Amino acid sequence: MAAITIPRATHGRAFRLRRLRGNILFALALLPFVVFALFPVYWMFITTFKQVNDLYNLQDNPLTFNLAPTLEQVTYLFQQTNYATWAVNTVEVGAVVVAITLFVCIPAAYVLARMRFPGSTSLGIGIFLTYLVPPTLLFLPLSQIMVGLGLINTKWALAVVYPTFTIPFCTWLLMGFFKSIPREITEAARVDGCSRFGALFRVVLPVSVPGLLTIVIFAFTLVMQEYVYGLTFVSASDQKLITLGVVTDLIRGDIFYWGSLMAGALIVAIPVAFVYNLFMDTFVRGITGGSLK
Amino acid sequence: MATVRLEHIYKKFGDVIAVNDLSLEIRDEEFLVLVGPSGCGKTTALRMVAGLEEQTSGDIFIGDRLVNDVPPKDRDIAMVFQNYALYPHMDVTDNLSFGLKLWHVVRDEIKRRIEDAARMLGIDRLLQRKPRELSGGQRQRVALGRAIVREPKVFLMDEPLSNLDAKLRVQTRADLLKLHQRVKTTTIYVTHDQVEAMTMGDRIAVMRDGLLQQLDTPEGLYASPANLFVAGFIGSPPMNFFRGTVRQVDGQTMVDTGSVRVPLPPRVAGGAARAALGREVVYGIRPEDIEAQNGTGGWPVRANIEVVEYLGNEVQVHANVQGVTFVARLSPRAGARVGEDLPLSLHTERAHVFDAKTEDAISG
Amino acid sequence: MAEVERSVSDVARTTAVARARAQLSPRERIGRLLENEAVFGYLMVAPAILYILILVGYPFAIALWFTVSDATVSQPIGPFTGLTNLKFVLDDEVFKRALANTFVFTISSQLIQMVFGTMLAFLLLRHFRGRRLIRAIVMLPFTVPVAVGAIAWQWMLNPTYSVVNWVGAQLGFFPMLGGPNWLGEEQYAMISIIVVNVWRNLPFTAIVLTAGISSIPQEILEAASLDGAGWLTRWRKIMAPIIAPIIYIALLFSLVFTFTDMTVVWLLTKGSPVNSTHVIASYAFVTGVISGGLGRGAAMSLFLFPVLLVGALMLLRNLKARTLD
Ligand SMILES: Nc1ncnc2c1ncn2[C@@H]1O[C@H](COP(=O)(O)OP(=O)(O)OP(=O)(O)O)[C@@H](O)[C@H]1O
Ligand SMILES: [Mg+2]
Repeated sequence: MAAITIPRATHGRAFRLRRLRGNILFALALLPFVVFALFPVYWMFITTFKQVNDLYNLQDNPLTFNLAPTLEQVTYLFQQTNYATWAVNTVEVGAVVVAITLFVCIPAAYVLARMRFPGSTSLGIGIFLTYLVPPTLLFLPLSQIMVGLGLINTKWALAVVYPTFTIPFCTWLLMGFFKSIPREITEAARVDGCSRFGALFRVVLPVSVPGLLTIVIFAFTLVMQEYVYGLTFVSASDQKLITLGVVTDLIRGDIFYWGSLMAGALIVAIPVAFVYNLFMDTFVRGITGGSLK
Repeated sequence: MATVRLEHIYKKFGDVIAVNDLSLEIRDEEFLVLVGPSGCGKTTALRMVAGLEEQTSGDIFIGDRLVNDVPPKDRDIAMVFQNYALYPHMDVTDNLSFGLKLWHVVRDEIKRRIEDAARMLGIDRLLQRKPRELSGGQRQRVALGRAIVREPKVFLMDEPLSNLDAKLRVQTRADLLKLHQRVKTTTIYVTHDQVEAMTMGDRIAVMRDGLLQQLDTPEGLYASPANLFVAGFIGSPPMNFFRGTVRQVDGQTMVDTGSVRVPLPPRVAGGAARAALGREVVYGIRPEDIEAQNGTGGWPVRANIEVVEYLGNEVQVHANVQGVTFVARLSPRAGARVGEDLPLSLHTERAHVFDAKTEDAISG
Repeated sequence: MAEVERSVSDVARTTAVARARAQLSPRERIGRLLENEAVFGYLMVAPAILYILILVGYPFAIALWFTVSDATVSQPIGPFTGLTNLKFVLDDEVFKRALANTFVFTISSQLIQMVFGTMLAFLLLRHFRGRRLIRAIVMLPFTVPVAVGAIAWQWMLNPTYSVVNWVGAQLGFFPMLGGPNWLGEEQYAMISIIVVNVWRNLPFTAIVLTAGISSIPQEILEAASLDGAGWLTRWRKIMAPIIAPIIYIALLFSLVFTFTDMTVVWLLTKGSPVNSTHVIASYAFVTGVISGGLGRGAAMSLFLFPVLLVGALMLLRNLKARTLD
């Protein structure tokens, strides 16, 4: 017995050593990525709570608090700017964009993924090509249209424009999802007594909930994060959405309200990070869905 | 209950003619099997009856109603799909009641029908499960149940057993037949398996390349195949075929393969035989119509045995008579041994003769 | 066979069809119409097509007119000027620089993302304690609005108070207060722009790759190991070809996006120093929106189109696979 157990023990130790070395190498490989990703976020975080004098201090270690942390900058954000209004605007515009996107994309993606009628392929291509039109090309004519619609310099201009991004992308995304649902299920529903519409609403949509959620998230984060169109179409402070408001109203000429800027950004980023982590896998599957089978 | 009538149905997909001039009447309460090799248009034909595919031309009647323009939901049919197509987001009860609710069947009636069907199919304990929590056989039963509770005019089934293992398939086949005897709903059943077709169909429609080859009872198909294709398709192992010429030999009409001569069956004697004189034909005889010689008639030949397969209750031998090879099903006691000669007798009275060019059966 | 041959005469058939139609109420008739594949199909894509025609097609057409006319903000419907705008743009040194920058920016960002994204994907695929947390941390840059992320980097790269330089000095890379002026010198500014863009997009690339790699059936990899394939062979001969389609899609999406995006450039440098860091999108924005030269701005934006079209054609091959069975 002893003769057998001893070699096994040494083998075990060598094995453990090798594994330990592997783990250390692994951690060393991962570390730069974590630092690269985390450092700017940490920097934003600490900037948020630093006193202004601490920010512009060339003597001491900038990575820690050299003066007592303060909520001054956060308070400033909420009391001296329209931050709350921007947040409300973002939610309102987000809801409208999500609604338009769903209303337009669901039916289009369904028939383009499932049906063949004269011109169906070209229509699908046409919708998708929209994604390629450079935004800079559209700014000027679009702003004229917004003037015509009486929406210029209001948040609703953005609610009307953002779907031009979300529609091509989300149609594409949903097409992949719908493709992966067996055709026979909708046919069974139609034989069971559903119209074509009925089959879509009673069977296809309930099965596609992850795909629909992905779209909602995509549309909403786009509204939360978009900057360039906002910059072009909206200048009234009380009409801005959150990102634009933070980036424009907290930089006055050469003066940057660093702490408040970072605070405003982090308040947006944290919920988004949370939601993304929940839905990342579905999102990725949505984008790549059609190409992986 | 209803008849289903297809009249001159064509279906083209681009250049492919999937169904070619199909005319077919399925009688009330009949169990009709549509059989044929892969790609012959069975599924397409069934889907046109369901309204899931629109025919290029021709008419379809269910009962007396012309249903060409009628969408599937208004045809009063139920369909069982090969992959079952259960609604993944609903439990079994909801799967079964889905159609009934759409047809505004009252709640008590829905409950009664689901209970009946569940008991009949032995799925009463699965009613709360989602499809992904069921085995293949159970899913198949739920799919059947979904059709049964609808109490439709017609059942359409597209290879509903093909995803089951062999044993379950045999059992479910019997269950399906029992079910049909009880509910007596007109049924169109698609399969590519001739054994399934022969055991289940009241009548069988054999298709090939979109064309109907023959419509007959199982007995009729077996006893008098209309052409070479049907003869080869029905029966296992398949019928043996030899090419030959019809000749008058010693006052008897024979098929001459060059090395072997066999007499024409009595059915083909007389006028048809005379008309066939000198023509190229294919002579067909089923493996079960060949026996070891025992003095009770048949056409005697001496065959060299090349392969012997023991199947327990019988042996299948590959035999060779002067260069003509064929398969025979013999009794294990016939004493067939590889390499040895064995006297066999062919029951030529049950043989079939086909025109080599048209491939149609020749009969008197 | 006899009853099969019995067919309703043509007259009887016509009346049967007519009777079946006449019995329908108008509502039923509309219902029938909607069951028609083509009618249903057109109806369902109509909202998408209308939206796009009005808000992309129409402005796009106007923009095309801008490129060949002397349009300004004050006079959008200017006189036709032919290729004058295009010629002007081609003679513009800043534009040429921006064109080169766009390619440098897009291609190097993508390359770096692919290489490091693959490494990161493999690291994240290993099962280790705290994997979810690490994944969440690595995802953070993607969730910070890109505009604000760029501002944060601007602060980190501030010529006077750069924390990056402070850390660099502590590690001995350069003397205290003697680090590079990241956003003030051409080379460094371009590098900064690329780094920020990679910072922002690397997580997404890595996650897409992770999804691709983990979708490879384990048996295939095991079979390859049994056949004696080493780590590199497994990657080159098995994993990479299998996930190629997914990489391709992610890459094309991201290429098109990076190509037309100006946010990072705009917020980090606004094209400075001396217009050396503009990309086409940001320069077109300056020319068209800020200075009001509609025609020239549009001509610049359109300049990207041929390149995008190539990307589009490649994506379309995949789109076809999605629309057809
Ligand atoms: N949607 C379609 N588009 C184009 N061709 C089709 C389509 N559906 C069927 N076909 C073609 O029509 C022919 C008949 O197909 P069908 O599915 O009816 O065959 P099947 O007899 O059911 O075969 P299987 O036993 O393999 O299911 C085939 O050649 C097939 O390729
Ligand atoms: Mg089929």
